[in-house]
Amino acid sequence: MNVSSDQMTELARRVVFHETAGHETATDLAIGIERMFQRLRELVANLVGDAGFGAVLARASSLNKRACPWLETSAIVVGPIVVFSGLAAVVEREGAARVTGCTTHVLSDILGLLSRFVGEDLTLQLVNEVWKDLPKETAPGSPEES
Amino acid sequence: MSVSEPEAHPLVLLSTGVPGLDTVLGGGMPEYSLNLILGVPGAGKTTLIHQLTFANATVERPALYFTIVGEPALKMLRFQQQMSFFEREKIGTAIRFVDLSDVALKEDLDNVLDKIMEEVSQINPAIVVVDSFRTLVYARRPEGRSELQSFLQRLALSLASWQATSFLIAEYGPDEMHNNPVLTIADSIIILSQSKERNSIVRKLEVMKMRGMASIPGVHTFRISSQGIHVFPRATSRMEGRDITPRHRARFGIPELDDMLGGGIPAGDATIITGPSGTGKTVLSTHVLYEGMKHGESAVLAVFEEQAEDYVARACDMGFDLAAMMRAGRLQVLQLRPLDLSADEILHQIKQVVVSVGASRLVIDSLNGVELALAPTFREDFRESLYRMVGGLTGGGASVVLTVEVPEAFDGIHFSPHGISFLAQNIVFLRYIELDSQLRKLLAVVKMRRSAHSRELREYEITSSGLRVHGKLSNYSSILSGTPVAVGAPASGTEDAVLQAVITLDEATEDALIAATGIPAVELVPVLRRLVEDSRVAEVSENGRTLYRPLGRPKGLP
Repeated sequence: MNVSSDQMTELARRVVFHETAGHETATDLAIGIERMFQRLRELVANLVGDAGFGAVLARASSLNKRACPWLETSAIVVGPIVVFSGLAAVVEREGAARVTGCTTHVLSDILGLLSRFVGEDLTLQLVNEVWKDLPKETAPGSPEES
Repeated sequence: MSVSEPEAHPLVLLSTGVPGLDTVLGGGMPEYSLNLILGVPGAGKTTLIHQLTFANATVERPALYFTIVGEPALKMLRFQQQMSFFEREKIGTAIRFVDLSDVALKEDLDNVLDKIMEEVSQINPAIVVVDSFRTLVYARRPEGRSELQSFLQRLALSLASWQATSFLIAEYGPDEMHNNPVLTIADSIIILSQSKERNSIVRKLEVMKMRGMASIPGVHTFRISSQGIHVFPRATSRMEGRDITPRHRARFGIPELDDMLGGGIPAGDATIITGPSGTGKTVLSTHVLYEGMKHGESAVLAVFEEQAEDYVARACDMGFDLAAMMRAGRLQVLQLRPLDLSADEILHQIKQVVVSVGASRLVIDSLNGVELALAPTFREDFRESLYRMVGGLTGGGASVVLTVEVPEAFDGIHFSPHGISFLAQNIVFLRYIELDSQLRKLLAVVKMRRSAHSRELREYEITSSGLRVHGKLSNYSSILSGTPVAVGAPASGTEDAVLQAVITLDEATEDALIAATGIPAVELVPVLRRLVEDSRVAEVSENGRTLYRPLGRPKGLP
């Protein structure tokens, strides 16, 4: 089931690229991904609480578990900080490209779910509030570049 | 040295952005006040506070909206986007949502207060909303009333120190509001409620408490539409308007009737045109509308009974080109038939149009339709509703003409079905009479409070070009009985026979007269009534019996 639009997928690519670019090691990449979800949590939890954010994240993970089986085994703890337990090991095992790809899909679906609730315009506006410094250019690996 | 009274420090008031609410509050919400918005679920609390928040929040002085346990902000955003007051650009910038459900559920109230004040000190908001404050305690334990009171007291002090105007929302039923110490902390308490009767739902707002302000007491109705909330303040005063020239008259354009009215209706008066169905009340109201517009005045027609286009088409057929007047901007037609209105809402809608077109004449057709348009709960007190409505409409310089249908009755005169004729300064009365085996019509000016008027009963007819008033019925008596008797004319054969029988018997009961004349009771009774009214027979009651005695000879007889 696809809950995300092309626009949200592209936005997710840019956000993931922005948060993970230059992270060479598996540990660095895992920290970058956790920080990205941490910033997303600040946005979503203010609208639905931590429990609400945890539910949205679980739903997005579930939508992507077939393509990214590691999402089922990696425990995600949502609290004042977001923790993906064992994510660095997953990066080592699956490779950076696969993990960032899965992360993009999960983020894209979270944004898609938000859009379903409050509309794309407001979702984009809220995301822009969190990632004020997000570059406008297309992220590498976008359909335009492939 | 003169000692002058110290001047009171004026309150700075925030406009709520809710049409009608500032009027109810006495001008707006005092800045830095702590206000409670209470009501049952679905009463409109969230919509009210969102409307107020969007109207007042700016990027420089934003609003902080704390959600506790209940409706999360995400759902609010989803549904409130449907309202026209929703400005997307303000979300996240001028209006910031903070979900405190985790803190409220897991930690104590001190931590909740700390979290609120931490956000307040960072954002420096002009407006703080806590939705809903009651769940703060009830999510933890239902007996925590004193804890909640203490929390609210500290919150009120802290928020006022940060120069924030605060709104706390909570679900409270009507039974929980009296003698509730929690509510004593607030500077103002606004209660929203809704009552359902048959198929109508009426929303109501009451300002239970308002420190330092002269709010309008009582219950006010409000409506929620895609525009948000619109409050209809309980009408307590006359409509403001132009000065009324005391001698100015609003004419009908029917010379004979205008003469009967002493030149027309005094401007600014309320006039009732009353009569049974088909007597021409609507035609007469069209005359008064059109006559004014013909001379450059503007008018408003509020139609409650039929389709507005039918009214206009029928008037056009008679030569009153209301359609042209509408095109020229001189006539505004309002059609109001929702069946769930309050008198104040009707008043508001009519007033708005009257003021916008500068109308000097207003026709409401009909009051019976107004009654039907009201929600059932207001129909019970129709007189009171109408009293406030007519009071609110008059005084603005517009002459108000109201049509009222009354049932045809030959046993008395009724000017209105609810005893509301006291509302109007003037009454024009229309009715049917039976004359020469024809159903004919007559009119009378029953009352004019500020003017001399004719006391004649005049026959009239409705023609293809409107209403024509003829001469007075001077050769008849018992006109208002509906069956006039020609004065001085020879009595009919039946009357002769009955009168002769009364004279012969000298004194007779109805049964004796039936036996003596052979006339059945159904014919005898009206004949006896005419003879009594014409002072030819006396009707007396003795020992529980009604007796008829002769008073004079039959007219035309020796």
